[in-house]
Order: sequence, then structure tokens, then C-alpha cells
Amino acid sequence: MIDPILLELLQTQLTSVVREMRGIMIRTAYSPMIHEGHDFSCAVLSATGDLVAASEVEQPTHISALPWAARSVIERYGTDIGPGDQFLHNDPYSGGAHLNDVALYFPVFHENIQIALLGIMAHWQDIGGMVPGSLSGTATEIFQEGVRIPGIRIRRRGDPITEATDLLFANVRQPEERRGDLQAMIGACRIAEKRIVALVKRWGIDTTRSGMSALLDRAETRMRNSINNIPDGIYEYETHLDNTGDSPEPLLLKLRLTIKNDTLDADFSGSALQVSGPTNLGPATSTTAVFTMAKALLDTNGAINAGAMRPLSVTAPLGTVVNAHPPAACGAIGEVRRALESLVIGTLGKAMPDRLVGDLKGASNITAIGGPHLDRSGDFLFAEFPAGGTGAFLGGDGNNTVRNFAEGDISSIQPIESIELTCPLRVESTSLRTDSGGAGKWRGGLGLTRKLRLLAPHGRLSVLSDRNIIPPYGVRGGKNSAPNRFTIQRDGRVIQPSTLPGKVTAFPLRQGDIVIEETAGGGGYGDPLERDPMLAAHDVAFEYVSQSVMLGTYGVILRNGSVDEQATATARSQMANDRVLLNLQDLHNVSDSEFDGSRRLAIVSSSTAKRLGATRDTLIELPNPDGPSLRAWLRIDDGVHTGNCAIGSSALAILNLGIGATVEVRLLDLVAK
Amino acid sequence: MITTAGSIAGVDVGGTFTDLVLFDPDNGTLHITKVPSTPTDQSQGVVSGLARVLPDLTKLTRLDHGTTVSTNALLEGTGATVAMITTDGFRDVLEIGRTRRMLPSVYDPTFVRPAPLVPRPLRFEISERIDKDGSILIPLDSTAIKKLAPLLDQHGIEAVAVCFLHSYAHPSHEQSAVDILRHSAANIAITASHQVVPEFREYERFSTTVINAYLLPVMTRYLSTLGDSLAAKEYRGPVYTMASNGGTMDLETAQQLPIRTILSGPVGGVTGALWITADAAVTDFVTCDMGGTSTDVCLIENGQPAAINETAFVGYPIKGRQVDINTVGAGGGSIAYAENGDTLRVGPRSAGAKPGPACYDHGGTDATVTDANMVLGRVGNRRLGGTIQPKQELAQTAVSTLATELSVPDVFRMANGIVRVAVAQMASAIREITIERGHDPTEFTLVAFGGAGPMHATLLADEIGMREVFIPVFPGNLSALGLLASDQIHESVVTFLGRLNSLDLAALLSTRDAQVTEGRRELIRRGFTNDTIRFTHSIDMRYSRQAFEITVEMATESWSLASLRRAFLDTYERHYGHADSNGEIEVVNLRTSIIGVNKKPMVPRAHERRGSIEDAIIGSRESWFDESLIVVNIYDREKLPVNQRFSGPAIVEEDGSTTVVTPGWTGHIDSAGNLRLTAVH
Repeated sequence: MIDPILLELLQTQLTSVVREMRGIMIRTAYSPMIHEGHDFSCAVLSATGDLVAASEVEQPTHISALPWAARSVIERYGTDIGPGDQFLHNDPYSGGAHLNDVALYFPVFHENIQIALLGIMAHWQDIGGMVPGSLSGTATEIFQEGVRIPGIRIRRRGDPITEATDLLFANVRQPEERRGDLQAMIGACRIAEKRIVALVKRWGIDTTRSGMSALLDRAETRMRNSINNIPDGIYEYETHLDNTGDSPEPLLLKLRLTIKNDTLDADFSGSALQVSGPTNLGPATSTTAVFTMAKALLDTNGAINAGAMRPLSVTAPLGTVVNAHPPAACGAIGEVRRALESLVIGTLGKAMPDRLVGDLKGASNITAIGGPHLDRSGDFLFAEFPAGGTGAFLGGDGNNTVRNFAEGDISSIQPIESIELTCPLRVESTSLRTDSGGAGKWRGGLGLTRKLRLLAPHGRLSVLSDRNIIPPYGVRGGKNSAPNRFTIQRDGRVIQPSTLPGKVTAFPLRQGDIVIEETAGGGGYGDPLERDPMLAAHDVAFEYVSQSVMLGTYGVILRNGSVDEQATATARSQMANDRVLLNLQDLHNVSDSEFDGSRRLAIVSSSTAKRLGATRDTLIELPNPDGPSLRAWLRIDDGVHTGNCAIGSSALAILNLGIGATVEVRLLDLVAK
Repeated sequence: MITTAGSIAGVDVGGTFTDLVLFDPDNGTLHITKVPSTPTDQSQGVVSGLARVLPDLTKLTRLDHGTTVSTNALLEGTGATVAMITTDGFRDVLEIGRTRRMLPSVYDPTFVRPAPLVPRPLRFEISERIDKDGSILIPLDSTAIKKLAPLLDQHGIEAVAVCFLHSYAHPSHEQSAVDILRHSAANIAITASHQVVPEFREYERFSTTVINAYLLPVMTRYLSTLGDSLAAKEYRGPVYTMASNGGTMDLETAQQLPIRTILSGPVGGVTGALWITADAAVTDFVTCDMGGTSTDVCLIENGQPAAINETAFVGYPIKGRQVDINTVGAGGGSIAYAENGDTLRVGPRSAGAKPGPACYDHGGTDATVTDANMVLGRVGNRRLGGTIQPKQELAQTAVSTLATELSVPDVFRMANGIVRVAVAQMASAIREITIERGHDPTEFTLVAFGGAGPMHATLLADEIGMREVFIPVFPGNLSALGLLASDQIHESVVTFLGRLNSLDLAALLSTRDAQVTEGRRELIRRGFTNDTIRFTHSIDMRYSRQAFEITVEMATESWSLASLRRAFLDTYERHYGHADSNGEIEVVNLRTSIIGVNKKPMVPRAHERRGSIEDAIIGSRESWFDESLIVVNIYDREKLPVNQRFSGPAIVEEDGSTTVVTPGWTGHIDSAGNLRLTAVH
């Protein structure tokens, strides 16, 4: 065993190098997305491209892309990597995130031996392509999203290869600013190089290298121990993205997790085929989702390095949205990544139900309003990406409207006074969205409602969001939370700004229109009828939950402001009795397929449908006592016995149930105001 | 003990000890003492400490003190029951904030955000709305406010925060609301956002105001108890409280704005260091104030401490000018432990004042940084903080238990490892605060003080590559000393949001003149004269479309649009390494600091100590350096002759502090009595 003192010193010093790189990036980068949005990551990698050290605050999106892209550079240049070299990369198809995330790699040598590879991946404000800022919801090919850099050398033994960078900067907007971004990345690496060399001089090459590899081994052991603590088995789940923006069809995402001893294998086979819009991923990002969520559930404080990732394997079939073929567009990485995280949490959580958490808002919620200024020439542009509530967990309610654990920690809404001072908008209200948290023994956190009135004579609204139709799930019987919703109030009526909710492109606004942003709450945990009535009463006193939901969902009855225990018990047992319990039968007797496109089917008789209050294609769910609820679309077929629900065999695997089992089938909770 | 009239006292109330420094104007000497703090009523410790050095308080003319009353109330959640009155439609601004977690919590699905200090049912919405230009969109519903009074009583409300939109520039509705409440709810403390921090950005302003309300009754109680106790001893002179901006506030201001005392304790160390170093012509340095639970570091550039306009405390943002002190959870009491059986961790868990390190024999068994130093022979077993008699064998047991757990073969290597990990953490914090501002830390001097700072100073300097270490006189009491040397500083801020190109310069200048006139009048009322009043100005500016501004220090001379632009570009370049001279610039806030310069005690001169270095040796001890135990000299700092060098390894002891001089360093006492250490490797 390597000296634990040396390891802790090395860890502290390496993390300190990374933090210094971050400090220099914030100080010197030109792109506001870097120095204000902190959308960048720094890392020390091994000479072979293994992630050795990153800080806790690196952008989660980059965690597996940064080393993945590094390996593609190493593969290409092999032994021809020398002191004074620098490499640039951004191509999602060889390990990048999306094209705006440009990575610089900077090998560090000491006495002609390569000690490390420094890497920085940062979101450049623009990388060329069809629109300013490069990201567009209407892109159908990656060529429209900017310049693709497959991993090229930009400096050889200290000599800049200006032909390469000139070609790049000839194809981006504000090239001088982008040169500034690159310069910032190089500057940060130069300082880090000095520090790494000093470290090597101090410890010696052998000790440094064996120390770095021992840090990875230690993290590996720690992750293996965590995985060993959960029961072996195969765990399955599926979720959906609402749609692709150009078609109302939902996109299915499937995961089959195999836990065997101290290993975890994630297989995304069965996920939707790649789409023509930008909701596709390259090969690296599904691994990011698996690693970050495994860390969150298994070992929150565990290290972020290649060792911790070793016990994980990921299969992302080529040609699907989680690993597309070129030249599919890949800009909307934020929406797909969030959907995958929700899928990984829901699946892995089945192996450790006490660590399960209700689902998150699952979308970036980018909301942009533009138009002319009232009092001066030119146009204004208002943009924010409002957070939602977080999921409930065993022993605690979710947080109200806050950046969640799978995101960074930057502001997601603009100050009201700042909006009013700089844009012809008036904020009418900013409040918590009552009843938006998923009901449960532990309640999901509340999303927000914000109303913005347009004062300018006209304007345009664009929104990029998801989970507007299929709301975040509840777990272990907990209910779903309210979905994200973006609407317009015009002349006292609420109107929809797009045919596909959450995908709004340049909707024309009139003076006086009120844009209403409503963000999702977090999913609930556990049966709402088991919620401590005192907590339910407290929720009503705080107006987190309305009287009607307290009565109708929680079955809590108050008398003179305090809980009437007797009446509550009676009401709750009545409500439990009123639940629709159905026996599962195999769907293949009545249907050829478990799915209609991406939609999972659940088939019941017409009288059962009536009892549920549902019609054809109503979204329903089957709560799972040890996992997240399974979603399906209702079909009616009187070939199914009343009292039965026909469902596919993969659904049985998800529910861990067999034919003939009795389960609750219920409508989704879509009552939130 | 002194009897001269005209004495001034600095009192720093810490978690464990209350430090007092009394300046005797008669012979220019300082008297120093330390008494146990009295957490339940801090004023008792202050008065009993004073009684030790100055039985006759009629001889005292000024009392400057640093207090942790506010900080503790926030940390322990013992502030007042607060209600908030806010604009209709916005009661949840306080709860939603800017949607940030603001606490270390990445990847933690079970993170629980701290609840807002005012629960939702106590946040009352009132119909009113003033637009950004001051026009009244909805008149204030005065009747509704009047009706609130009995409701506030019924809820046991002790303080109310009045927080309306756009009040930073247009406070009339807040003022009216305050007036109505003063009449109808006379027993409740009231504070309004335009009084606390008249800057735009509602959440940060509301949060600051609510915290102020939360602290109002606590601070008022404390200060009036202190006043009563002092009055009982016949002291009726002024009592000043150290504020987070590095200046003091009079009693009235401290009572109205307790929010400004959040850093009251740590900032005294910085002002103390500034005062002592100024005389030694050291102007660029980093302070390292290492105490029991944490270490505070601060960058001083050209004699000016780095300052910020916003910070966060236990997850709540606080706006207002303050010294930029960075805290790391590594102190003498930080616990070293094995995580997962194979990973050594040091801090941020701390043994605190109770039970304290294992060697204190107060029931602690965890190995701490202090225990490690004890094992290494770097701390003697005499006088720790005056009263505690440390026990070597208890430190030994604690550290060897950890060594066994981590399979580290011997106790010295374990102890050495603990100290080095703590030092590496402090080094990391210092690198960050210097590199963030574009400096190379190796070009700065390390000024180390606090109970444990001098013990780790050369190790820390080596870890960073710093070549000069400065251990001021009275390193264990520097915060109290800093209080004596402080000035009164009042801050005035006006939001002036607009593009620089179309700025109404005349309006800006007349606002500045009004700040100056008002500030001068106020300070003259407080006994200052024109020649002891100074002003500094700064303007927060940013590029259009940026969300964050930088504070640009402005000379008092002629301001023009061109000089403002130049000053912004220069500052931006210094801060970020580049500046776009064509970018559109916005002005955000105009800030004026009004400084009442206090008479300072003379910097204490070292007695003309002669004799040889050898005469200062008071013993020797086996200590662990460079992988082995060696016998090192112990010097008495009081006996060290001026300007004569000694070499490390060596240990320098004095009351309240031990300086460890590691191999590769030499030291000498300068003519002012400061211990100067220089790297010679």
C-alpha cells in the first residue's frame, strides 16, 4: 500500500493545480459562458488520457468527454507527442460534448518523459455554423452547428501551427474573442505545467507516477466496494423525451443495468434511433450520465477520476440518440443528458430503493424573449433557464426551485430589477408553484411560476424545454410532479405558443402579453397516504399544497386547523380501497407489439378504462413499490378481461413482476394550477 | 496595570478567549491580557478582561471591540423571529433566490437547502409597486400595513424587514411602511432594504435586509448589556464595533446594521497586520490567521486589503463592502481521520474549543493538528493560550491510533503527515486568492499570526515558494491590536445603472458631492474634524450584457467619461488579463467610503535588546524535522536581540504563540520587534 500521507498530499496538490487553472480561466477567458456561466472544465490527465484529477465543480457534461476526446488525440498522434505540443478537439463523434465545447490538450514533460496531459474543455460563445452562438433547435446536420475539430495539433515542439488555427478562426464569429478564449486555455495550462513540473521535481518521477496511479486504484477500490454493497441483479427502466421538436412522437430511452459483484454494466440498447433534430449524443456522454449518477447514488463524496470509472461499463448502440452516426446534429446535449440522468437514477435506484430520489425537471428550460427597446434604438434580448424543484428522498422533501445535484451551481433566473432596468419587460410575479411538487410520503420540491409582461410594441419568444408532456416521475409509489409549462396570457386568456409544448421558436408576442414560465417540481417518494399528517398540514399552512390536494391526494382532514386523526385514518383507508388494482396479463394475446413507436402500451377493457377515467392514448402509470413508476399509453380492447391490464414482458421485467400479479394502475397527477 | 487617563482599549471576543490590548498613552506602551470568553453573554468577558488591566474605567477614553455575536447567532440559528413585508407577488423571492444551492453539495441528491430566515406564512405581501423610474404603478396600501400590526404581535414577531422592489432608488413606499409600523407596532424592531443596502438586485438586497432584521434584537440586547455593564464601572465613553469593511462603527450604527459585523472578528487581524507592516514598509503580503477551527487568509496589495461587495454566509447572500477574507477549514483543532480505512483527511471537522485537541485532556480523543505538532515536539507542554496545560502522552495516543488505522509505521511520520496536509490546504487557499487577482504568490510576503499561524508559517511559505515570512509583534493578539489601529469607515452606495456613453456625468458628480457632504456632516457630528476625514470613491462597472461588475477605484480628481472608461479598462485588464477597448461599458453603482481617521497608538518599539543570540536560548527539545528527531534550540522571543540572525531548525516561544523555524530558514527580530524569517535554501 502506498503511503496514505503522500497520496493525500498529492491529491490536495493536484486538485489545487486544477483549481488554479479554473481561476485563470475565469480571469482571462472572453466568453461570458466561461467566466460567468462557468461552463468549462479543467483536468489533469495521465499521459495515456486517464482522468487523474478534477475539482468538484467541473461541469458535469464534460466529465467523460474530456478524457474520451484526449484518448482520440493520443490514438491519432501516438508516439509523436512531444514537449511544447498542443492539440485542439471538439468533435462529438470522437468523444467531445457538442461543438461549442472546445478542448485543449497540453502534454507536460519532465526530462523528456511525459508526466501528464493537461486538458481544458470550455464552451466558446460561438464556433461558427448557421446561427450566432452556433446552437439551433432546427439544425439537422452537425455541419450546421459549427466547425468540427477532430483532434488536431496546433503547436509542434513549441512552434505554433498557424495554418490550423487560421482555418478555425476564419470560420467562427468574433474570431478575436475566440482567439482570446484559446489564449486563456493555453495560459492556464502553462501555469499548471510549471506546477506539475515542480511537483515532479519534489517527489521524483517514479513516486509521482506511482502516486497518480495509486490515486486511481484507491478510487477504483472505493467504487468497487460501493457497488459490492448493492445486490447483484439486472435492473431495467425506461423514460422518454417528450419529442424531438419536429414530430410529436416521444423518444424512448431504455437502460438495462447489470450489477455483478463489484461491477456495473449499463446497456442503453432499445433506445430510440437517432433523430433529424439536435437531440443526439456522441459516444462519450452516456458514460458521463452513468458515472455522475452512480457517484451521486453510491458515493457522493467519491473521487472524480478514471479509477472510479473503471468498474463501470457502458453500451450505447450506434445509430441511436445516445450514440448517433455522423452527421446527426448534437447541439441539444443538455436535454438528452438530463433525460439520461433521470433514467440512470431511476434504474440504479431500483437496486438501492432507500437511495432513490424523485425525478428532476429534466430540461434546460432555456427561455428567450427578444424585441425592440422602448426608449432607445436596437433590440433587447432576455434569456434565463429557470430551475425546478428537486426530488423527494427517504427522510426528506425535495428543495423548492433550486439548481439540482446533477447541475452546476450558477444562477438560473435573472434578478427582477435587472430585467426591468435593461429590458422592456415587467415582472408581474415570481412565486413558488403551489401543488407542483410530486405528492408522496416525502414530497417533491416546488417549481416556480414567473410572469413577464412585454412592454415593447412587439417581441418574440423562444423556449427549449422538455418534460412538458411527460412529467417527472415519482418513486416507490410517490406521484409525479407538475411538468414544465410555458404559456402566454393574452387579453385574459391563456394561449399556447407552439403546437409541441416546450419547443417554441420565435413566437410573435404583442404588447401586454404575459409570458408565464412554470417549472416542474420534483417527483414524490413513497405513498402520499403515508405522509405524516402534521407535515401535510404544515404544507397547507405554507401553501405549498392546496387544501384540495391535501384532501384528495393525502387524505388529511383538518379540524380547527389541527389534524383530525380519526377522520384522516378513515379517509385514507377509503382512498386506498378506491385505488384501481388490476391483474397483469401478457400483452401478446391482444397485440403484436409492446410499443406503438416509442409509446409503451397498456391495454384494458372499456369498462376498466371507464373506471380509470381514461381514454385511448391517455398517459397512465404503474407505481412500483421499489422503483420509479412505469409509464404507458392506454389502449382499449375488450379482448382483455375487465380487471386485467395487458402489458409487455419488458414491462414485467421493469416492475419485477410476473403474469397475474396485482398492481395499481393510475392516471398521472396533472392537477397543478 | 495602568492608571493614566486617555487610555484606549481594543477587545477581540473570540470563541474561546477574549483578547484585550490597552494602549497607555503615558509611556506609549501596550498592555495585553487574555480571559476566557463568556459565550452566553459576551459582555461579561469584555468587562472582566478590562478590569484586569484597567480597574478604573474612568481613565478609558475609547473602546474598540470585535464581536462574534452576529456570526454566532447566524451559525447557531438563535436570531430573532422575523416577518417580512414585501411587494405583492414577490414573497417567494426570498425563498427562490437566484436558484443556487450556495453550499458544497455537488452530486448530493439528499442536499437540503437552508430554510429562508422568514418562513412563508410570515412573508406578507402588500399591494404597492414603484417602477424603475420612480413612477407609482400601484399606490401603497397603508391600511393593509396598519392591519398587520396585531398579526405581527400574535406571531411573536421581534423584527420586521420591509423589502419592496426598486426601493434602492425610490424608497418612498418603504419609508411610509416603516413610519406606519413604528406607530402601530412600536415594540418591534424595523429595518428597510433601502437603509441596509440601497443597491439593485432584489434578492441579494432582501436577503441582506432579512439577515439584518434577524440580528437586530440580538445585537441591540448585547450592546445595551455591554453599555450597562460598562456604565456600572463608570465608563460612559464611546464604544466602537469593528465592521466587515475593516473600519469601526459607532454604537448607533452597529445597533441599526448588525449585518455589517459578520466579519467583526477576523477583520481585526487584517487591520492589525496592516498597521504593523506599514511601519516596516511591507506593502504586498498575504495574511494567514490560523486559529482553532479555521484559517483566514487575505491578500494585501500595495497596502490595500482586497475587498468584495457581496459574499455568502451559511448559504445566504450578503451585500455590502467587506474585506475579502477567504476561510479554509484547517486550524489547530482540525481533526485528522481515516476515511474508508485508507484515506487520510484533515478537517474541516474540528474538535473546536470543546473538547479541543486530545492533548487538552478535555475529553477529545481524535488526533488534531495541534496534537500532531505536540508529537513532533514543536509545541512545548507549557502555556497554551494562557491556561491550558497540554499533555504530551494524550497527543501521542491519539496520533498513534490514527497511524495504526492507516498502517503508517511510526507516529512521527503520521504527525508530520497531518501537519503537511493541513499546510497543503492552506497553501491551496493562498494560491487561489493571489492567482484570482492575477498575482504570483511567490512575490508576496507571508504575514502569519493567530494562535497557530506562526507554527506553520515557514512550512506554508515553502509549500507556496514564498521567501519572506513576517511574524508581527503579539501574534496571538493581533486582532485586538488591529482594533486599536482602526478608523471609522462609513459606506455610501447609489445605484446608477446606465451606459457609460450616455451617462449624465453632472448627475453622477452631484450624487458624489452629496455623498461627501452628507458623510462629512455625519462624521463631524461624531467628533471628527475636517483634517481627519477622508473619502475614497469607486464605481462598479461592467461590459453591457455581462451579469457581474467589477469595482473600479477612482481617484478623487476630475472625472470625465474618458477617465471613467480608462479606469474601467485598466482595472478590467489587471483583473482578467485583457480588455476590449471597443466594448460597450455600463455604470452600475457609485460607492463612496467616508473615513474618520482615528488617532493611532504608536507602533510598539522593541526594547533596545542587546546581548547575544545564545542569551535568548531558554532550552532545547527533540523535534522532528527532515525525517528525524533532532535537538533544536528554543528561543525566548522577548530575549532575542535586534537584527541578529539565528538559523532553523529552531523554535521561538512567547506568550500566546510558538514560531517554528524549519531548516532552510533564518530569522531575526527587527527594530520594531517583529520576527522576520527568510528562506536561504
